Amino acid sequence: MEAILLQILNGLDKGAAYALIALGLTLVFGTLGVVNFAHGALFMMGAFVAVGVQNLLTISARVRDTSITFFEAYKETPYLELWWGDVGRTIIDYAVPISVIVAIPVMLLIGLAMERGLIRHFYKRDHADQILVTFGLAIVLQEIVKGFFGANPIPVNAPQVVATSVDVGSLFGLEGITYPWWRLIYLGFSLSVIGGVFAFLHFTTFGMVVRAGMHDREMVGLLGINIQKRFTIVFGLAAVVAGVAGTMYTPILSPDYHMGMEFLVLSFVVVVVGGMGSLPGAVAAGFLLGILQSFFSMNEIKTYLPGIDQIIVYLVAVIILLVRPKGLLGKD
Amino acid sequence: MQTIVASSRTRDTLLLALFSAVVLTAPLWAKAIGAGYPDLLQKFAIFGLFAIGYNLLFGLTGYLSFGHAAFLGVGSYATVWSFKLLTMNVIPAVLLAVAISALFALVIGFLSLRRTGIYFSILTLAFAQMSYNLAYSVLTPITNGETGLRVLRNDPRVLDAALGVQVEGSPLADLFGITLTGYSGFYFCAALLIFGFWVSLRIFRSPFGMKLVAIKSNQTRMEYTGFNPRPYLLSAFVISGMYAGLAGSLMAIVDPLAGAERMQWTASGEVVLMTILGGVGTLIGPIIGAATIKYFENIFSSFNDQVLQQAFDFLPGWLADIMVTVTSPFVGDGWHLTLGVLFMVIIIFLPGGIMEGVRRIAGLFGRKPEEGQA
Repeated sequence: MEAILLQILNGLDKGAAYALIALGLTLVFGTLGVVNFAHGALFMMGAFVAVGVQNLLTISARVRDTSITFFEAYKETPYLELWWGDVGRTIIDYAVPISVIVAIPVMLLIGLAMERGLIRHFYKRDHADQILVTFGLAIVLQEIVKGFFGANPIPVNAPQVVATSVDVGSLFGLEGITYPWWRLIYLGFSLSVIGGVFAFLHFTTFGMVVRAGMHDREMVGLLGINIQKRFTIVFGLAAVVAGVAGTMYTPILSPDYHMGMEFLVLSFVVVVVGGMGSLPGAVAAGFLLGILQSFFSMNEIKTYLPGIDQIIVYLVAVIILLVRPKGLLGKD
Repeated sequence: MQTIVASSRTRDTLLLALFSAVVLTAPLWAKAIGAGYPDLLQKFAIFGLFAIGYNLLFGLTGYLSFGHAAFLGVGSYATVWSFKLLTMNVIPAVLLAVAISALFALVIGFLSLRRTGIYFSILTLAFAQMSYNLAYSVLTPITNGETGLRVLRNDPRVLDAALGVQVEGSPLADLFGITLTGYSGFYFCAALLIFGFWVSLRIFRSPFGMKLVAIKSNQTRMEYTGFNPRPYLLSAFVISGMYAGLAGSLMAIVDPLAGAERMQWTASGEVVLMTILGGVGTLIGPIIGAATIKYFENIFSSFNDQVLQQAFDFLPGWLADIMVTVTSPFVGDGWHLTLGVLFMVIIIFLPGGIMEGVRRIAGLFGRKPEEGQA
């Protein structure tokens, strides 16, 4: 029982990342009708915003290391620490939360630039062309990131306060289920982002117009609304969602330049399983596949079905697509 | 998009003869562009075959498969197993590889072709990723997992043993006594490439090919005229899977080794890229695309700053420095960047690939573009 609960928890944070990426993909597909293979690259760039911020905050000076007295020793100390002492150290410690704030405008700009510069020329082209050009863009983006940050994963730390684990089991009256704080925070964060996006779409006038445009773009246009402009903003929003998902994910998985592609393939499976164009479907399928993946990695199951953990996501995708052609929650 | 236009038989024969001549003389002319070594020429031929086969599915029917690497991997594994268990002769190996990959393609195609568009793409991707993940993990007894499957000296090789053929040194693929390494390996690949091209030409000109194009242009209308598209699609899928299996088999022949990474989805992406770059739905295009990508991969990734410095030597010093700084991220390790940029440029400006570029240039010179010729 404990093991199962732990696996479900493990699956939730991965599922949360899938859900956030899939949410953005679905938004873009639903509004602009574009299949965006560069969405994983946006997730990756969000992660590298955290790396960039961490690097910026820890720009260091060489100072005399006073703890070593035998010879003249020097150590690298960040300027922030030199200038502000403990306050500086705290700022560095909170690099990831700070990067989330930085990532929002950065990713919005990247998203808008991408939409205006490239994607909008591909509205009328068929899906194959859209897939291919965004695939090319994804390669370019990840090579640029590789050029700046190198090919190795770069560790980014969560703030000290939450670097420990929490005894989740006690909440349910079970023994011995400890779980890293940061993963719980990630789960809460992604749920609030998802909630925020849904609230934005359902409770604001802007969101109402966007939903109307997803339903019947031409009609909304005829009512004198510049729907294109709003869809562009939605693309920016999707980029922000993918970006902050990546930024927050850095303490869980050290980012490297091809992490986006790995997440993208699974996210596409998620989107299709959820039903293309269905936002709740994307979110549900994201969590579902995340949980299934970690559930089937349990040793108890692996002994009966060897290798099942490697293929379960794809197997489920195949079964769902063959049984329910439009995905879990897709409309016919 | 380029489609099939009835073409006279003599013209096709001429095209085939010309193609064969170009392929067979490759060791001569490839020297001029610095590609005159067998390793690279073999790659041209192998990926050319892979792309021709892929084009028969994607180019003719418009079904974008993201899982063709699976058949490539299956072909490689089958070949290496034939080397291990039967004989080092390539004929049984190639036949076995093509047969097994056809079987795989039949199963995967039968299931995937129930859906169209992006759903089809995701289904093929899912099957390929499953094969890849399984080959990496639980199927290790068959695939030797991460290390890759190798041919060893003391493998049983029952046919060789029965005929009393002894392997001296490390086992190499052979064709009735001719060892297939270096140029002999290339000529073996080239012969199969020409054969593959001929088959593709016949399919393009056949009523079967016409039906595949009909599926691409309007499937509903085709159904109304009384054809069931499914069997045609499945045949096209299996044929293109067999091409991929053949290509995989050749990879294992020129270098007796099979690894799971051949099945990863990036390998499927690569063949899509080659086909698009050359020209989707054209006869020659995919081969040109495959050769271009493999050529640039080899040439660009071997460049470094010194080579660049030499290349820009004719410019004044300061300009040369600028050029070196500008171009250096695009070569060496960064050649993927070049690939990505090239790819975007092609899709944005020249959706028909290199072949469309050729036609446009030909059009500039006042010649009527020759439809369906290439």
